[in-house]
Amino acid sequence: MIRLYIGGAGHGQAELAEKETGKKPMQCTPDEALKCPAIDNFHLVTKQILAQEGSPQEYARKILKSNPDAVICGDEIGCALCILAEGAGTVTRVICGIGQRIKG
Amino acid sequence: MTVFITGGSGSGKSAFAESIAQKLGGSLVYVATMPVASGEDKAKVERHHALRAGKGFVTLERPGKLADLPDGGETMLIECLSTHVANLMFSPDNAQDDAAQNNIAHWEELLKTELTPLLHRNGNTIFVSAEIALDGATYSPETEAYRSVLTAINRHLVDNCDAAVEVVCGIPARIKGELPC
Repeated sequence: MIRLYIGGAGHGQAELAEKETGKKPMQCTPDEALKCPAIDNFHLVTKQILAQEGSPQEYARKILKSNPDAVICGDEIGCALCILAEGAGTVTRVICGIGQRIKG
Repeated sequence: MTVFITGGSGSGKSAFAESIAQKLGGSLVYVATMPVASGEDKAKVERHHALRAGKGFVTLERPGKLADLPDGGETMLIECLSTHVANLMFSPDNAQDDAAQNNIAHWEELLKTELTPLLHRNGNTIFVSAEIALDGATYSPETEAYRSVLTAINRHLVDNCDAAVEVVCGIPARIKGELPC
């Protein structure tokens, strides 16, 4: 089950994710994120996909298939997040360090 | 009681904060953090003065430093921390070299030391801040440092206040705790 943590920059997504899941989110390349147990700054991963002229939406579908138990943290900037949220078991919006469960 | 209020620019934070202050009651004090440096600032201050007119607030101007504030059981509304943090970090009086300017831990410590007595004063304290980190953009190192400091201070206040709320289009969305009805 994918657990997604989203919110504004600096709101403490990674800290809360680590506290709740016991997994420390790591900064990844797009390839690493396909198998990393806990991904930090997912918006920067999608930025790399865009820089390579790839599709963030297709990439998000790939993550859902190849890394189905991932913890994913990122800034709430749209892009491929809706696809991830649709496939995630839980979605937590983090505001000022406080988690608001909006799915699951 | 301590209350933290955040939200985007123009989301209705001020009016909501004033209504909470009035509900908490007692002698009302408004602490204004904004220095008036331009016509635009003056217009904003005048708009806020008009918003508060007739609501019973005594206004204290504290641009740059939250010092010499009353501690006698008043309900105090402090607005706005986003301005206060900017005043502190970018004031010519506090001029720093680049490394010191972007030393997030330094500013965080300074602000937490300054804000701690306000979290434990006699009477209610309402902190108004702002949400500035939802645009997904990356800015200059100085601005990124400012955003990091402000979001850290916001998290610190949410952690330490009795109640916290995000105002969205004038509607309060609860973050934690219970507000007065």
